Formats: sequence, C-alpha cells, structure tokens
Amino acid sequence: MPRYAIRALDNTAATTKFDCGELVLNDYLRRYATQDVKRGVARAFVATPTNTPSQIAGFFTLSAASVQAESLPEVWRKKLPRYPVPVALLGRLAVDRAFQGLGLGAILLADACRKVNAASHTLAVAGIVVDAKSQQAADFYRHFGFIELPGHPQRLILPRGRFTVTE
Amino acid sequence: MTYVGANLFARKRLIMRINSHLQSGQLLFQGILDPLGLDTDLPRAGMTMARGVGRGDGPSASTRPRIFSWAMIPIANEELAYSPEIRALTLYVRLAHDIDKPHRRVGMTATTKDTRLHIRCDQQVRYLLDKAAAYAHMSVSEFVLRNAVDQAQAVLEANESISLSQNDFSAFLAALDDPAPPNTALQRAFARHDEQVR
Repeated sequence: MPRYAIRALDNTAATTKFDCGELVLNDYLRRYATQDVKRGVARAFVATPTNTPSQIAGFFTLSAASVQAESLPEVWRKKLPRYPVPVALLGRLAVDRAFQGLGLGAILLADACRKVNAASHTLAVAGIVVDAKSQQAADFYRHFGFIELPGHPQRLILPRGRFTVTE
Repeated sequence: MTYVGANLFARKRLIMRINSHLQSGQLLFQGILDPLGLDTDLPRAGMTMARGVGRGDGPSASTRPRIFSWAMIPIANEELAYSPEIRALTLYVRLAHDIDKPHRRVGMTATTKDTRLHIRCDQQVRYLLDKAAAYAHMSVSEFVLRNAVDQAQAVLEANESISLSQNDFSAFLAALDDPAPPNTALQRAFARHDEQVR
C-alpha cells in the first residue's frame, strides 16, 4: 500500500510533471498555485510518495469563503454582506493518473477535513464547500456525506459535524 | 449602518473646490455643504449628522492654526449609502483630505492614504482616462481608484462569497445543524489517512 507525505506546496515539488488528466487542473498547479499561496488567496497542499518527495501524487487547495443571504438588490448587496457564515472552500482536489484508483482522493479529502478541523480552533467554519465540476466529482463528494448547497446545484457542502471527529 | 467619514481640513478650500467642480449648477451638496460645518441635518439626503468633533488639537507650537474637524455621517438607509450624493460627498471629503498634509489624527479611526500605486500606461490610455475623469468630475486618481475598487470588490465577491436566497439560506442553516457524525465512507477515509500518511 503506497504511503504518502502531505505538505504545503513548496518549490521542491515537481508541479510540471503532474498530470491528473484534466488540463485545467494541471495548468492551475503548474502556473497559479504557487502564486495563489504567495498572494494569500489559497493554501495548497501536495501529497508525495514517501520515497519520492518531489513527485506530486495529488494536491488540494483550501481557502476562506462565506455564505450569506441575499436580501438586497444586486448593486447594494455586493457591498453589504448580511450575516455571512464563514466556510472553508476546498477549491481544487486532484490525483495524478499514476495514483488514481488507489484511494488517494479519499485520503486527500480526509486530510483537508482534518486541516480545517484543526484550524477551526482559531477560525470556526460552518462547513466545507466544494464546487463539483462534473457529475463524477459530485458523486465522489456525496459519497463522503456532502450535500447540495441549497439553490446551487453545482456546489456541495459538508456541514461541520460531518467531518468533526473526536480523536 | 454604513458610514462615510474622514478628517476634514481647510473647510474653506473644500468648499471652494466643490464650487469649482460644480459650476454646472448641480445642487448635490446643498444639504451637505453646511454639515461639513458640523451640525445641520441633511434633509435632502435623509441623513442626520451624528457626530462632529470641532476643534482639533489646537495650534501647535510651531505650526499655523488649522481648522481641524472630523465628521462622520451614519446613513441608516443602506441604499442611500451608495447613492450618487453620498459617493460624491465621499469623493469631496477625500479631496479635502488630500489637500492639507501632513496632518494629525483625532482619536477615532481615520482613513489615511499612505500607500502609493504607480501605474504606467500609454498616451492613448492616459487621454482616455483624463477625459472620462473629466466627464465624471473626478480627478484621474479618484476615477481610476474608484472604478478599480468597485471592480476589486466584485472579484472578491465572486471568489469569496456565496449568496443564497433567504429560503435557501434558511435551508443551509438547517443543514448546518445536522447532528450526524462523519459517515462510514469518511470514517474509512480517516482510517486510510492514518495508515498511509505519515
């Protein structure tokens, strides 16, 4: 059974060699992930096989977002958030082709849940939100307890209780 | 409650500036000019002046006396906060704010513009911006900044905030109250994580 180390993205990780089969995600990791981290809009984590720490087997990104009720006309609303509920956004999660089908996606998700949970001591979030880019992706997240975000069929949320474990 | 506010210096110059900007006879500031003098209400805009601090620190040893006023206008009606009148007010308050530097701050929070943004552009773009700013009765800086800030807010909104209708939001809140623990699949995922990640 492959073993992995998961760490924050750094420049020793070979982002150019990563191929999950989806161009957009490969491109994101290669061109934007490091920038996003530097500029503070997301945090990126990579899983590498323990014996080849430069090889990226999978990655995910986390960032902060909020969910709020819209009750004002569009123009005003954008400046006047109402009762925003903070959530963690699992922006991207991808597994390299060579590691697909080995359960690494689940491991990355578990890792993301644990990171969010650990961070919730400093910043409590109400849940983890993902954008499911495809039906397959949506099924993946539903399998782990994600439910549809009301009114946003493409977005799913895992309420906090559903990933908090007393360990 | 939304606020516009700023430190106000050199009120006279502010008023002159406003007058010169409003030669077209617009009356935007009819109700607002005086409140910069601090205690009139603003019937036209439906606002009231909550607080105005008159004198500042007074003349300091080495400098000339200054008019040192601080005004903050709470606007109960949210829609009004972004009305052209208030945007214009904010603009002129900012202009006034820029006129006299350096300055001291009064106790309450004041916005200071203490970082600088240099942007290079070609002649044509410069001409375009100058002209557009003139139509909008703004300085080029203000015009560029105002529009960039609006745009920036929209981008942030698109990336960081998710809006739900009232009903959906209620459903969302209800879902958060779900007391269920992680499902078996996720529990297995945690177990695999324990096993395979060091």
